[in-house]
Amino acid sequence: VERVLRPSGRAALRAAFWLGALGLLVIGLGEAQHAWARRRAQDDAARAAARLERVLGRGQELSRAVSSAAEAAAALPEAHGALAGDRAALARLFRALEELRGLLPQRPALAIESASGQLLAWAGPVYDRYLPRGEPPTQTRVQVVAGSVSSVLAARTPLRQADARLAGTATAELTLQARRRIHNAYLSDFDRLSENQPGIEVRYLGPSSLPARVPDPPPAVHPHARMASWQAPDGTPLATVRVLPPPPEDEGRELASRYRRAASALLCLAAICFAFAGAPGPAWLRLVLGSTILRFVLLALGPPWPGPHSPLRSPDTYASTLPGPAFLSGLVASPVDLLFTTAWALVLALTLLRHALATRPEPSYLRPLLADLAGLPVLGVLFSVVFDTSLNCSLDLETLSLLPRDAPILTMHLALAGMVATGGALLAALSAWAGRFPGGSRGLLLRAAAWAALGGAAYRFWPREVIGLPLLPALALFLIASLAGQLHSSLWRSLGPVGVTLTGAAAAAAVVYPSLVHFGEKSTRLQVERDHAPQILRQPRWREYVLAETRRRIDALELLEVEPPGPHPPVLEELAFAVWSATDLAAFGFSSAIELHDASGRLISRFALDLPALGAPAPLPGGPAWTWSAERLALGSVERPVLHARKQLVYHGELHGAVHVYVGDDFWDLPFLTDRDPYSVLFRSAAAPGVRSRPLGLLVYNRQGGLVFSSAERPPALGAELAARLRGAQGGRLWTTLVVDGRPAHTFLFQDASHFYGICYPRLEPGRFAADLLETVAAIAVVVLAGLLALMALRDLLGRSTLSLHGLAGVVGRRFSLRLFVAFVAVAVLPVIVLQFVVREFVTDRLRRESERQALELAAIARKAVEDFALLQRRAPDGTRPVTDEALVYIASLLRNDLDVFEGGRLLASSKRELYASGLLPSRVSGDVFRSLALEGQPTALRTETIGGFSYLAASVPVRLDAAEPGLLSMPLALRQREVEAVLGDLYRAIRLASALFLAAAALLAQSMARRISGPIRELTGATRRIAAGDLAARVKPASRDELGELTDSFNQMASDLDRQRRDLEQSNRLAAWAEMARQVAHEVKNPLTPIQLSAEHLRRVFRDGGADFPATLERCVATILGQVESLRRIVTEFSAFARPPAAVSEPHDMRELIEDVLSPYRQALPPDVKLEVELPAGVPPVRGDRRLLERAVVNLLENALQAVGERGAIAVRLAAHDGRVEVRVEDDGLGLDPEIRERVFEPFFSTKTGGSGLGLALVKKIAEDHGGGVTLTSQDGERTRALLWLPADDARAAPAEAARGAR
Amino acid sequence: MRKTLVLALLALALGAAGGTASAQSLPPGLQTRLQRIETAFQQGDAGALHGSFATSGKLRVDLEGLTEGQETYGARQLQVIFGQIFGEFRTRDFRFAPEEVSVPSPATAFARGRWTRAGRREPVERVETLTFTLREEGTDWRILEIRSSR
Repeated sequence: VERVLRPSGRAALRAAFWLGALGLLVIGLGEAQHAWARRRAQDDAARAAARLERVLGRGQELSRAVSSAAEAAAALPEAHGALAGDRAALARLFRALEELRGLLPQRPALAIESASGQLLAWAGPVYDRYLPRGEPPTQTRVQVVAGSVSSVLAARTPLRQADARLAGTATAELTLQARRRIHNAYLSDFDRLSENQPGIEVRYLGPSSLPARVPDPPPAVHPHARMASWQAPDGTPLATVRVLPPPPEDEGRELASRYRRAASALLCLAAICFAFAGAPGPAWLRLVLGSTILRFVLLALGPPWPGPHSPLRSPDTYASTLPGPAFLSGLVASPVDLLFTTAWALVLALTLLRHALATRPEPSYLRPLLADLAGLPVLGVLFSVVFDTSLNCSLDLETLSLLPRDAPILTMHLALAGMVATGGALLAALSAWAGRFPGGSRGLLLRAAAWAALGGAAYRFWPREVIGLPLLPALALFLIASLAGQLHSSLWRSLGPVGVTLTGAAAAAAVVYPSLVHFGEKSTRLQVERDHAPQILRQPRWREYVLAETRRRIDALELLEVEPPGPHPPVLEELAFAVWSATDLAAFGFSSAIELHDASGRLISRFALDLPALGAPAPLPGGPAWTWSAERLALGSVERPVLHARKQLVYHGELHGAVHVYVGDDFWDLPFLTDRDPYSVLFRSAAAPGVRSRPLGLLVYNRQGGLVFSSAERPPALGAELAARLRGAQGGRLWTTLVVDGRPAHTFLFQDASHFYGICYPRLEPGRFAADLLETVAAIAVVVLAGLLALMALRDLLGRSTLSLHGLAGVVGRRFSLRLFVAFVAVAVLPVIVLQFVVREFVTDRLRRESERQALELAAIARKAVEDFALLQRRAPDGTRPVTDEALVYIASLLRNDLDVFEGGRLLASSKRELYASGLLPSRVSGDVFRSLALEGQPTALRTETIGGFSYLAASVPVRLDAAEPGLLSMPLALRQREVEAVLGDLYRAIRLASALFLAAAALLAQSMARRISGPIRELTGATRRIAAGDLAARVKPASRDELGELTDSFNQMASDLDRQRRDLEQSNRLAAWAEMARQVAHEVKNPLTPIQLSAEHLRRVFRDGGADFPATLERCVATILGQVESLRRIVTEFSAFARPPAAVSEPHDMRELIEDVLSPYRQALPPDVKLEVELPAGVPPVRGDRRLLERAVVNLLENALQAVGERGAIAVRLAAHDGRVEVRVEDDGLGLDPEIRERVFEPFFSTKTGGSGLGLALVKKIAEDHGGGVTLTSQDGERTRALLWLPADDARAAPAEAARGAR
Repeated sequence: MRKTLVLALLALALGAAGGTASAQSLPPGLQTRLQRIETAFQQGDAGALHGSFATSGKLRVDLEGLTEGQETYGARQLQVIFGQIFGEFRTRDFRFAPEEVSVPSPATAFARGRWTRAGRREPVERVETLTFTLREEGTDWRILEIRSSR
C-alpha cells in the first residue's frame, strides 16, 4: 500500500515539515486566544450583568412571540362565525388555528374561548390546567402559570365583535420550563429562559404556583450574583432571574478546542506525508514512525473528527485502561480511540509480516515448532483483548445490520476486526518466519499432526478461567493465518491486493462474530449467576430500603404545609407527580403511587406508575407518624401485592391532609426485566436504544411448582423431575433449557426457602447464528470495500494511475473476463435493488394497513365496551361519571391496549392516567382529531402523537356517552407499533441479507461464466505468446465443440505446421552450420600449421647444413612450434567451450557479489589511464544459474570493453533490477561500432580483432539465452558502446526484493 | 462464628426501622470499603475507586446527567468514566451518612452518599445523592451498583 500511495519523496517530506510547522503554529494561536479571552473575562460583575441582560432579552422575545400569536389568533375571521355558533365555521377555525400555528416560529398552542370561558377551538398541546382563568382581559395580557412540573407563558387577548362587545378570548401558550426530573432517551428537562445553563436561576411567578411546588434548592452564594425581575409589557412580574458570572476559564474555550482540532488535522496530515514520503531511510521505518507519530498526535490533541460530544468518543459507549502511565489509557478511552489504536497496531503487525515474508528459511523441524508454540500466547493475548473490549463496552455488539445506522457499533466492530487482523498478521508472520517441515508432502502431514497435537494440548491445558478462549474461532484464526503465511505468494498472485484486503477483512469478521457471541454468552451467564440472581433475592430488602428513603424524602418536602386555597387549583393535579419524581421511587422506576389527601380525606392529587387501580380511596391515616403494611390491591380477578406507607400531614398541631405511598411488591421493578408497557421508558432512566444487552425473562414458582410470576406470556411449567433435580443440584442452582414463549431459552434455575426462580434468555439458534455471521462478514466487507473505493477515488484526484478508479477501469477494459464479470454482476444488481425496494414498500404498506385496520377494529370493540359501561354507569345510583379510569384499565387489560375517553375534547378517563397526571400529555384531544370526528362526522381518525422524542400512532373513534358534549375514544397504538416495527425490522434485515446472498451467488456464477467464456480465449492467447517466443510445442486443449473449439483446432493445426517447418529449417541450418564449422575449424587450424611447417623445414635445413647457430635456431623454431601448438589448443578449447552444453549447476547468485569477484583482478591490472566506474546497488534480486558461465559472460563483456578503450578511456559497469529481471550494463567510450558490424557481433567466429576467435560475444549470447535472458549491444560509429546483459530474477524472491527496491 | 455474627448483624439490621444499621454495627470490611470510597471521591481518584468495584462481571451505574441512563459497565470502563467526571467536577465533599447505610442481608449492603461537587467550569455547587449497592466478596466488600438518588 505504501508503495502505491507514495508521493514523490522530497515533496512529501517538505509537505510534512510545513504541515507540522503550521499545526504547531495553530496550537500556539489557540492557546494565545484562550489566554487572551480569559484575561479579558476577569471582571465578574460586568460578565454577570451582561449575562442577565441576555436572559431578560430572551424573556422579552418570548413575551412578544406569545402576544403576537394570541393577537393573530384573535384576528382570524373564522373565530367570529364559530363564536356565533356556526358549526362549519368552527371546523374552519380549527383548521385556521392549525395553519396559523404551523407558521409561528415557537409553535405555541393556540385556543379560542367563548366569553363564558368555554373552550371552542384549539391547536397544539393545550393544557387546560395552565390556561389563565379569571375575567377576560381588556387588552393583550401576558402571564406565567407556574405548576409543580411545568411553567407556562400565556398571552390572552380579547376577541371583540363588530360593535366592540367582548365575544371571547384568544390564548397562546408556550411551555417555559419542564421539571420532571426524569431523563431518558425521549425526555429531558428544559428551561427556555436559562437555556439550561448552570449559574442561571429562574423562579417563575404565577397565581397558583405557591402551594403546589416542591421546594427549590437554596440559591448559590456568589459575591457578584445579579438579580432582576422579568416583567410582562404591563409590568406584571413573570419571573425572578438570578445569574452568576460565568467562570473566566470557559471564555474562549470552544475556540481553543476548534484550534486544537485544526492543529490535529494538520499534524495528522504531516504524519501521513512523512510516512509515505519517498526518502530518506527505509520505507518500513518511515511507515512505522509515521503511524506512531499519527497515533500520538491523535492521543495528545484528540482527533479532528468526530467532535468531543460524539458517542464515538464517549466512554459511556466503550472505554478501557492500559497498564503503565495514565496517559497511555487514552489509547483505548473511547470507540474511536480503540479504532485508531487498532489501526496503528495493524500497521506495525503488517510491517513485521512483510519482513517475515522476505525471509526464506530452510526447511526445519525446530523453527515451525517454535513458531507454533509462540502462536499460543499471541492467541491468548488477542482474545484477552477481545474479551476486555466486549466487557467494557455497553453496546450490543452481537447485532450488526448490513446497513449499519449505528456508528459506534460499526466502529467497535471495525476495531475488533482490526484487532483480529493484527493477531492474524502476527501469526502469519510467525508462520512465514518458521518455514516448512522438511520432506515435502510428508513434512506437511507431520506439520498437520503437530498442529493437531498442539491444539489438543491447548484444549486440555488452556487456562479457561484466566483466558476464556473461544476455541473454534481461535483455531480458525490460527489455521487461516498459518496457511496465509505459507501460501502468501500464490494468494497475492491469485487475489491481488484488493482481493487479499477484502478476504482478510471478511476472515477477521468471521472470527470476530463467533468470538463476540462466545464472550457475550459467557458474560451473560456470569451476570445472571453473580448479579441478577442475588438481586432477585435481595429485591424485597431493596424495596424496603427505597421506601424508607422515600419516606425520609417526603418528610423533608413538608408537603401541604401551606394549604392550597379552595377550590383546589388545577395545577394541583401535578403535585403528586412532582412528589413522586422527587423521590427514589422515580429514581429507580418502581411501580408505585403517591396520593395526597386534604384534611377532609378527599383525594386532591394522585400519581401512579403501573399501579392503576386502587379501588376506593384509603381512609385518613391514624397519625402523623409513618405506618406501613403489606397489602393486596385487586383489579378484577388479579391481585397485586403492594407495600403501603401513609401518614397524616400535621403542622403546628393542625391537620393539613395526608400522604399515601404505594410500592408494587412484585418482580416488575427488577431493572433487567424488559417492561411490556411501551410508556415505561418515559418514566424510567433508561439507556438509549441499541445499548441494551440481551433481554432477560423471569419465572417464579412456589415450592409446589405452581407459577407465581412470569415476565413471559407463555411460561413453561416446572415439572416435578426438574424441581427434584434443582433441589439436588450443587448449590441449589443449575442451568437448563426451557421452552419460553415457544422458543428454547437458556434458563438459570435457583431457589430460596419459599420459591424456585428461573432467569431465562432466548437461545441463539444455528440458523440465526449463521445469518448474523453472514451479515457481520458482509457488513465489514462492504465497509472495507467502500474504504478501498474511497482510496481509489482519492488517488484519482491526485492523478495516480495505480490503485485508482481510472486504473481499475483500465484493468477491466483490458481483460475480457473482468468485463464479462462486471457486466453479469451489473445485470444482477439492478433487478435486486428494484425488487428489494418494491418488496419492502409493498410489505411495509400491507403490514401497516393491516395494523391500522386491526387497530380500528379494536377501537370499535373498545367503543362498544365503553358505551355499554356508560349505559350501566348511568343506571347505577351514584353514577356521576359515564366512564372511570378503573373501567378503562379493565377494558384495556382485556384488549391489551390502552384507552382514553374524551368528552367535549377534554379528558374524561384514561387507562394511562400517569401520562396526563405527569403533564406529558395534554388533557385535550388533538384539535384536528376533534374537528374530523366531532365536527366533520368522520368515522375514524389516525394521527401520530408525540411525547418528547417518543412518537406513536393513535386511532380515534366517536363514542356515545349520552352527554351534552361529543365523546371520543382514542387508542394509542404504541405497543402494536412497536411490534410492527420489530416485525418490519426483521423483515428489512431478512430482505437485505437475502439480497446480499443473492448478489454473492450471482457474483460467483458470473465469475464462473466469465471464466468459462474467456478461458479458451485466454489459453489461445497464452499459446500464441508461447509460439511467438519460439515454443512451437504449445497446444490448446479444445474445451468445447462450438466456434471456440474450431478456433482451437485451427490453432493447433497451425502450430503443428509451424513446428514441422521449423524442424526442417533447423535440419538444413544444422547442416549449413556444420559445414561452416568445418570450414572455420579448417581455416583456424590451417593458420598455425603453416608456421609449424616452416619452422620444422627451417630447422631441418639448418641441421643439414651444419650451421654454427643451430642451437639458437633450434631454440627459436621450437618456440615457434610450441607457440603455434598452444594457439591450436586455444582454438580447440574455444570451439569445445562453444559447443559444450550449459552446465546443470543452477543456484541463486547475488550478481552484486559475482560482479565484484569478476572485477577484482581487473582493478589492479587496468592501464593507468583507463577509468572504471562501478555501480552495484543493494537489494537487487538474485539470479539463478551457473556461476562459472555467468562470470564468463561478464568477463567477455568486460574484455570487449577493455579492448575497445585500449590504453585510455572509461568503462562503466552497472547493475540494476527492472520488471522482474536483473540487468548488467557494460559501457565503454571507445570508438563504437558501425551498424554492419553491430549486427554481426553475436555471430560465432565474427571478430574485428586480429587475435580474436570471434566467439566471445557469441558465447555471452548463448549463456544469456541458456539462462532465460538475453544480450543487446547499442552503439554508433565513433560513439559509446553499451552492452546490456539481462537475466530473469529468481522468481521466488523477486516480489519482496522488488518491493524493497521500489520502497527505496 | 462469622456466619453467626453476620446473622446477628442481619437480625439487628432488620430490627432497626427501615433496616438501617448504625456505623458501629457495620462489618469492619464494609466500613473500610466505605471509607476508601469516600477517600476516592474526595481525592477525585478514579484509579482508587476502580479498586472498590466488584471483581467480575459488569456494574450497573446510573448517574443522573453524568451517564447516559441506567446501564451496565465494565470496571475499566467505569474507571475511565469516573476519571472524566472527576476531571470535570471538583469534589467538595463526599460522605456516607451512617444512618443511611443498611446491611439487609448477609452479603448485601446499601449505602447512600452525599456528594457535593462543583464543575471546574461552573460557578454552581451541586449536592448529589448516590446510592451504592455493595456485595461481600470474601472478607471484603465491593461495589455492585451506583445510582443517583433523590
